[in-house]
Amino acid sequence: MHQGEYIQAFDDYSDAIFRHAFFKLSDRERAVELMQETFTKTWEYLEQGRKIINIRAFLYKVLNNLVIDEYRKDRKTVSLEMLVEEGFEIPSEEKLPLQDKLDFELALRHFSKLEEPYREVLVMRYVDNLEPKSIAEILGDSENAVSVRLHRGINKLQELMHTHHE
Amino acid sequence: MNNTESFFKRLTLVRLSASEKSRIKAGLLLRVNQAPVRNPSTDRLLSKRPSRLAYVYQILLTNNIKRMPIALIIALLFGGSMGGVSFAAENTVPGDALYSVKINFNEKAVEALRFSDKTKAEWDTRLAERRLEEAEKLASTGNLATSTQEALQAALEGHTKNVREHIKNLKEHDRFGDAEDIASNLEAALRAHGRALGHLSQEDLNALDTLRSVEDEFNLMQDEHRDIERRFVGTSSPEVKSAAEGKLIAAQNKLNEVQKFFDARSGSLASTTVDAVNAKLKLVKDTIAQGKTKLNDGIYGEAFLLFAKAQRMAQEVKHLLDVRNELGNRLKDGNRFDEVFERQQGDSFNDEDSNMPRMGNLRPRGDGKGGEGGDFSPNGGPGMQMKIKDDDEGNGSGKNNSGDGEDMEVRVQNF
Repeated sequence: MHQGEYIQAFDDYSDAIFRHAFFKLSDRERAVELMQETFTKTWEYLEQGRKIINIRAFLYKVLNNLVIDEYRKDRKTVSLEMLVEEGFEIPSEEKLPLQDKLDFELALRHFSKLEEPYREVLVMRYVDNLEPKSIAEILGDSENAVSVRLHRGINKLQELMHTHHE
Repeated sequence: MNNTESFFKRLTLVRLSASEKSRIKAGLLLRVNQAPVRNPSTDRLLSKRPSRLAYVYQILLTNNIKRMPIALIIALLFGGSMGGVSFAAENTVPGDALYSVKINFNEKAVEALRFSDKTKAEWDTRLAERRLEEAEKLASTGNLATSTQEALQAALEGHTKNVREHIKNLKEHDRFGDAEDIASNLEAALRAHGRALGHLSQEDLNALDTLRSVEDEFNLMQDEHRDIERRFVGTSSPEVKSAAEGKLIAAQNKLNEVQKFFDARSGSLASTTVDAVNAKLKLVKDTIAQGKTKLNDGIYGEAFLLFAKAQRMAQEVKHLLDVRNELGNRLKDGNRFDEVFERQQGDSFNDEDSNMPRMGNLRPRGDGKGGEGGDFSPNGGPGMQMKIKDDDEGNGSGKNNSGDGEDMEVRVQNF
């Protein structure tokens, strides 16, 4: 993989990697940093002349290791729910119609009520369009377990949306 | 399902802002365009240079230039020429035409991407090392002018001061694990470079001034470090347990990394050098084993500190190998250099283990400690300066090597 492909991978996956970090840490600033570190570490790996077959899966794995380090270091983690209650700010440069903003906030509020393992697979599957097989590989779970979790996650989410909506 | 579909579409709003994305991308581009500072694969990257133009065009074509911040545009536009300049500048020392590019462009670009106390401290540590590497390069050929020495020393002290500031902030936020990490790294770097400078003072007396400054900084950092360590002694909370477990992995990773790095180079090293490094690495393994025992006994704080120490010792070996690597081509006489290097590998490698006094004592040889040749036997220290005055040898630019002034040899203690 040369520089061009690496930069292409940044264009393609930086948002997904950031999102993954964000939903794990509930800390926007830290998620940006970890995303950046993920890409830096990946480059360092490539620089040593080593091969990466599946760059996307590799990035997730590097990130997961960084997140684990993060958990080890800092115990005072904030839950997504707390963050949402405090008001999650979309960066101000995003010019969105008010209705979209409200929809987003509501979606995030629902989502924050889900348990983390469900959030993780749902984002990977439905926001970032990873196949269950790839998710399983990244998380080190069986494909079956991932599918079950996805299914339950969807059900729970729909329940939440029903009870809290309208 | 339509409902959930639009739901997930909304969640895509959790994303990087355009400016965050381009800022980070600019940094990565700079990094990618720069050959690694101390990586053997430099040649590989260089030989690939033609392909870079192709990908710069590709990026320019596929991105909306109007939305890009200036930094990214500079990186892209100059990728072909500035990227090359920026790469060329990486290996410069004060006095070279491109040195200001290194300081004002390359380093500032990376600096701009560091936000937290931890990442900033890591970068300041790296900058301190870079100034020392420059001093070493110059000193290795007897070209470390007094004014340059002073400038580098001031820069070094500035960076270490920043590191101490960041450590202070981390401590205030109860992030002692991170604080320990940073103090440990800087300490290892200062110790390794102190050793190298001790040797190089044979080539250039001005290196001694740098060495003294390194010594002072080392002592300050060690005080800081001990203060941090005190927080861990006798603690056995679950937090410290998981910190110790994390540190164990970090120490083992570092050991593996250094082992690999060393294995790749051991062919070009003298057998005595190889032995010395192996002995040090064994010490690292032993320290890790001790830590594991403590961990099993539930004495987590001590386990953490032992793993941290192992990591630090391994890091130090890495620094020394780096310096050796870096200076190898610069020295006029490779054989002489290897001779110097062999001498460097004495029991000094063990000093973390034995409870030697703190570094900073330039002791005349023969006061009890020096072995055959000494681990660090620069013709430095007060004794040497006097000798040079007597002999009127000037600043000893590489020619004061005959006989090495046996009687005058001094030892840099505990480097």
